[in-house]
Amino acid sequence: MVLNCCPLLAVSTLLAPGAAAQGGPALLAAVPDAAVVVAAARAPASAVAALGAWLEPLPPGLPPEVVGQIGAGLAAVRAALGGATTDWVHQFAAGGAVAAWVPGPGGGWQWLVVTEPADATAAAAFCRARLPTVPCRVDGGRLHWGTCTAPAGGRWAASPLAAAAASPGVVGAVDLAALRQRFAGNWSLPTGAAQVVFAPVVHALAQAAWLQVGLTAVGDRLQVTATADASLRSTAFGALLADGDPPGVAWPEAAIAGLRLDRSLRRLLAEPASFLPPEGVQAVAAFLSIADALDGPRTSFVDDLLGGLHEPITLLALPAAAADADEAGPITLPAFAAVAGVRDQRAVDLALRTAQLLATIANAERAQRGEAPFAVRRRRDELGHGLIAEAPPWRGPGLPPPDRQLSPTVWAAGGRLAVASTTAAALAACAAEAAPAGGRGGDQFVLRGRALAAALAASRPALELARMLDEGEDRGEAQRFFAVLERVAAALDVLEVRLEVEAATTRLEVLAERWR
Amino acid sequence: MSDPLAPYEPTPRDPFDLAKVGHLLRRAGFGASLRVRRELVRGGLEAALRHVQPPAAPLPDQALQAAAIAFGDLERVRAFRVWLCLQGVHPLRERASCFWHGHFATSNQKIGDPRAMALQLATFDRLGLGRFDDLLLAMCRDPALLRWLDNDTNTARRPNENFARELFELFTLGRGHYSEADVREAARAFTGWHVRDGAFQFVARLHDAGEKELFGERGAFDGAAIAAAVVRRPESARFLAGRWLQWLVHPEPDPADVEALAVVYERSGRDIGATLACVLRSRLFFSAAAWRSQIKSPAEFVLGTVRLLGATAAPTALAAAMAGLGEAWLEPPSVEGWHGGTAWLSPASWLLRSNFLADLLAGRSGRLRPAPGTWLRGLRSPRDRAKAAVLLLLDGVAGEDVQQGLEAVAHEHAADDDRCAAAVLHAVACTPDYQLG
Repeated sequence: MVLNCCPLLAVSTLLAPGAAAQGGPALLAAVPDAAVVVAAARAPASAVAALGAWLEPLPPGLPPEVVGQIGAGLAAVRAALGGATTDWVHQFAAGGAVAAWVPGPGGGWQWLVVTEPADATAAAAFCRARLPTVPCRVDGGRLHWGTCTAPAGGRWAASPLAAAAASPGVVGAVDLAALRQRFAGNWSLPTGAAQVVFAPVVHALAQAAWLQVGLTAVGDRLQVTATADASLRSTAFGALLADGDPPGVAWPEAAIAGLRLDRSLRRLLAEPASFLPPEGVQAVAAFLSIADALDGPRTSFVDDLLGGLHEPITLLALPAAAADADEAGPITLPAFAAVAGVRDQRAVDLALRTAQLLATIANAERAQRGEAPFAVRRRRDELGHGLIAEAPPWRGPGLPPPDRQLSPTVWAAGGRLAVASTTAAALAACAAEAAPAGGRGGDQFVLRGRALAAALAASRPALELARMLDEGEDRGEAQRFFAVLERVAAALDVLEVRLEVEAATTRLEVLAERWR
Repeated sequence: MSDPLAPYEPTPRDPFDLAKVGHLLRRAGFGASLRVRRELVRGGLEAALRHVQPPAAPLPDQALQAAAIAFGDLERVRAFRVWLCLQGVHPLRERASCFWHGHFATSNQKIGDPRAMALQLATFDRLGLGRFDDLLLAMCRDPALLRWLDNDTNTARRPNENFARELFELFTLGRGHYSEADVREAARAFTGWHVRDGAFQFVARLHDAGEKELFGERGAFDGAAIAAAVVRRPESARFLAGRWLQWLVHPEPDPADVEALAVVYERSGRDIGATLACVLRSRLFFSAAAWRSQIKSPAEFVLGTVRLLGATAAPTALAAAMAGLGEAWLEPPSVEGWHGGTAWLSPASWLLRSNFLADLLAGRSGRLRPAPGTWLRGLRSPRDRAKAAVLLLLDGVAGEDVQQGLEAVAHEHAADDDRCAAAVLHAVACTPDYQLG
C-alpha cells in the first residue's frame, strides 16, 4: 500500500495548489545524481489550478455509478491528506517541489520528494504519520521525503531540466541513457509497418541522452510536450522524411480523425533495402509483383502512380452519411479516404484503370459467392471525375450487411486524387481546404471528440457485443464502458498529436482541447 | 422385455442426486454451477428437466444476434455462439443447435460467408427442437447448405447430385437405404433451388419440372416434395433416433433402443423436442451404461469447465481454444461433421487441453472471472480443498486415488489461495474422469 500510494503523493505534491514561488529550479540541487526521472514545478498552485480548470466539470451524462466512483475516489484522497487540500498544499509545496525516481536494488524503484513548505514542521509530521517507515527530514526549511537517500551531487541542477524548471506548469526530464541501461534487453523493437511508423520515436528513445517533458494547461487547452535530443534526419532513414512538397490537406471540420505521416511511401517501395530488414524487402517485392502487373508491363506502381502524387498522403476518417432509419443496422461504418495532391495527371489515369481492374476482380469474387456485383461506372461532372462502385440494392434476409454502406470511389478534382470507401468521402477529401502554406510539417494525428462520440453512438449495439465477446463482460458492463467512452469523447473538442523531426531533436506534442 | 424408454423414477436406492443432475446438464447442456446443480437436486427431476428445456425461454436476443451477424466476421459469429452457450438460457436448445451443426455440417471454409453461417445456426435455434419436417425443409432452403453442397449450380441442364446424395446419406436415411436412381431423381427435383443475395431463390427456368420417380412413387416432385417424402421413411426415423441416442446416451446405442425411440419419434408427429424429452427422462438416460460413457468434445470440455465453475470468460478466447483443440465451429472438417468419440482425444490433444486449462485458471488467457481462489475460499485443509474441487467439477464422484492425488497437489501449493485453487482445479480437470461426459 505504501509503495502504491507514494508515486501518487509525489505527483500530487507537484500539482498541489499553493502560493507561487521560485523554488523549482533551486530544488534540483537536492535531487540525487542517481535519479533517472525527475519532475519539477515552480508554482504547483497555479499548475494544479489550471489543470483542475481544464478537467472540470466532469463530462455530463456519465453513468451515475461512474460519477459515484470518482466522488468516492476524491473523498478518499481528501481523507488521505487529512483535511482540506489547500491546507495540505500550503504545508507541503508553497515554494515549489521536485520529485525524483531512482533505480533501486532488485529491479525496484526508490523515490524522493523535495519541497519548500510553508510549515515544514507540520509537513514533516504529516509525512511521518502517514508513512512512518519512509525517511523524512527537514533541512534548511526544505522537506526531504522519500525512500531514496542517495546523495545529491548537483548533476540535476546542471541538467537540461534546470533551464526549463522556471517554466510554468510541470516540467520533467528523463535520463534516457540511464533508463536504457536499466531496461537493457527488456524491450523489443516494433516490426512490420510499425517499424516505419514509429521509426522517429524509436530512434529518439534509442539514441537520445535526455527527454524533456512539459505539461501545461491554459483555459480549455492541455498541452504535453516531449523533446528528445536525437533525430534520425541525418540517418539513412531521414531520406524517407518530407522533402519540401507542397502542404497537404487541412483537416475537414466534419472529420472524425485524420492522419498524415511524414514518410515517402514512394521512396520506401523504391528502395526498400535502405529502410527495411530482409523480410520487409521480400514483402515489398511480393506486393509490387502484383501491383506492377495490374496496369500491364508498361507502368510502374511506384514511379508512375506514387511518383505522380505529392507526398505525404493524408488519411481521413469521416462520419457516415445519415442512414435511412429503416435500414440502420447495428453497425454504421465511418468512411475512410486517402488523398494526395496530383503532380502528374497520368497518375490519375493509371489510378482509374487500376481501380477498374480491382473492381472487376472483386465483382468476380462476389459472383462466386452468389452475391450481386457492385455497379461500376465512370462519372464526370463539374466537381471532377472518377470511378464509382455502388452496392446493389439489398434483397436478402434481414438488414443489409455493412458492406452495402460502401461505395468505393477513386475521384480526381481540384488537383487532388482521393481513394475512399464512399463517394461522399472522396468528394469531401478532394474539396477540403489546403493546409496553410508554411505550416508545420511532421507527423500529425487529429481526433475530433464529438464526431468520435457520434460514430460510437451509431454502432453501439455492435461495439457492446464485441466487448462482451472479447473481454467476457456482461451486457451492463459493456454498456457502461461505451457510455463512459462516448461521454469522455464528447467532452473533447480536439486531440492533436504532432511529431516533428528537426535537425537535432525529435519533438512530440499532444494537445487536448475541451468542449464544454 | 421392459421398455428402455420407460421414465426414470427416483427411489431411495437410486436417488436423483448431484451425479444425475450433473449427467443431465452435461448431455442436455454445457453444465451449470454447483449452486444451480444443488438447487436442481432439491427441486427434483421435473424441475431439472424444466431447467434444461424451459417451456417459455425466449429465442436468443434479436438485437445481439443482428449485431453478431452484421459483423460478417467468422470469429465474431463463432464467439457469439459460445456466448449463447455460456448464458444457458435454454440448455437443450443450445446443445441441439450444436448437434444440428454437426449433423447438417456446413463449413465457412468453402462458402466464405459468416452471415450465412450465422443465419443457419439461427435456424437451428428456431427449429432445432420443433418438427423435423420443418427443420429439414428449412435446411433444403438454407443458403449456406445449398452453396456448401453445390446446389446453387444444380440446373435442369446440368444436374448436380451432391446435395441430394448428402440429403439421403447424411441428413435423413443413412447408407444403404436409397438407390443411385433415387439420388438422380432427387437431384432433378432440387434443380433451380439457388441462392441470391444471401437468400434462397427458386429459379423456375433452371428447374426440371418433369416427372420423377422416387422410392417407387411417380410425380413432378420438387425439393419440398422430396423433403416431405424422405422424412416419412421409417429408415429416417431409425437413422435420427440412432444419432440422438449417440448424442444423449451412448456412443454405440443398442438397436432395440434405437427402434423404440424411432417409434416415439413417429408417434410424436416427428417432434424433435418431444422425442429428446422422452430420452432425457428415461431410465436408459440415467442408466449406468450411459454415465460417463462419452469423451467430452472440446466444446463440452472448454465451455463445460467455465459453466461448472459458475464463472465468466471471454467467448472469443474460448472459441479460439476450442478451435485449437479440434472443434472449430462453423468449420467442420467435412460434410460428415466431427467424428467425435475417441477421435477427440490423443496424447497431444490431452496436453493441449491441460495447457488451455492451466492458462485459463492462471489468468493468462480467457479472462476468467472470478479468480480461482474464490471457489475454494474458506477451506484451509488440503483434504477439504480436494473434496471441494471434486464436487465442483466431478459432482463429487471420484476414486480415492484421485482424492489423494489432489490432496497432495493442494498441500504443495498451500501457501497461496489462488495458486492452490488453480492447481487443484487443473489437476481435477486433467483426470481421465473429467474427460468423460
